[in-house]
Amino acid sequence: MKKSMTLMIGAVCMTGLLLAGCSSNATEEELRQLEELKAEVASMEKEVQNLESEKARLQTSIADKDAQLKKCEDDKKVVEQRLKGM
Amino acid sequence: MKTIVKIGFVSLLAMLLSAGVYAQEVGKEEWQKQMNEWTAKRNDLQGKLTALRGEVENLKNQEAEKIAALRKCEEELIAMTGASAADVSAFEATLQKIDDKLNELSRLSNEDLWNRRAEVDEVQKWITDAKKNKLSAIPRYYDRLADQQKRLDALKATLKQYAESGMGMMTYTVGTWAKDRDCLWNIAKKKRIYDNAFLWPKIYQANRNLIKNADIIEPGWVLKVPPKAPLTSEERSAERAYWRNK
Repeated sequence: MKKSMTLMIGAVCMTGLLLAGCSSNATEEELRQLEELKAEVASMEKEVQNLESEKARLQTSIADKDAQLKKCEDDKKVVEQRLKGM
Repeated sequence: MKTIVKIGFVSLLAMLLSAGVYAQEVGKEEWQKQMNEWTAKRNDLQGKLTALRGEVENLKNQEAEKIAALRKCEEELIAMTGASAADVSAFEATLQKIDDKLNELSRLSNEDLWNRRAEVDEVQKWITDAKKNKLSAIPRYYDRLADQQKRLDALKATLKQYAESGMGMMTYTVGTWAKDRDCLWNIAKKKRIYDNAFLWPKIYQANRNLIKNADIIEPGWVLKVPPKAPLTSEERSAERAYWRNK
């Protein structure tokens, strides 16, 4: 009885130690790798944001230039008419 | 037996402690999961960035083309008037001069404006001349000149109102015949009055309270001098009455 009890406790302890020792955690190097990846993603997100703003600005500017160009072409017709009357 | 129980107790404690440490660290599986997630995110962003960079580059080229086309159109517009770059600069300077003068005159009190009414006429001349310039056919100049004319017309209306209220009248203090040769005819003839002797009935009519006989004015009288303008019907009839009684 005493012997089997000792064996049981011993087995429980060994299993416990094995579980505790064998649980695999990420290494410091791996954690650093993950942090670097996160930082890279954050930087890319910022760049996407900047490019989106630049794209919007350019689209507005082009629309504005188009309107100016149309006005300039219309102006040419008006000037032609006015010059005939001068 | 006691020793075995002790070993068991210590082992259990060690297990509990390791479990606590494990809770604070990232497990290998969790790390791998996160790495996969963030890598996918990065790859997705890389694709997005490549596409965006291309789009922005394309838009920049388009913008540059539009700017060039606009410049070309502007040059063609100016070329239609036959004006050079120097002509454009000079014309713009004139328009600016008109604006500056209008701003200056607009800030004056009615009295000061009245005293400087010759400048209003001068601005009208500048505007009239500018309208004769072919560059004025260009809408942006045309509109600016139209606006300037409108502002000048408002000043003229103010002057007219001021003159009609009688407040715009100049005064003239009569001198002696011996020294100044002052009579209505000679006063009207003076450069700073009307520079036109035939307008004497204007002074006569405006001062009927003082002048009973147009041939007699007394030294020291302060005569009202209405603004220069053609004779009104009242002034003409006053003149006729004078000649009838002569």
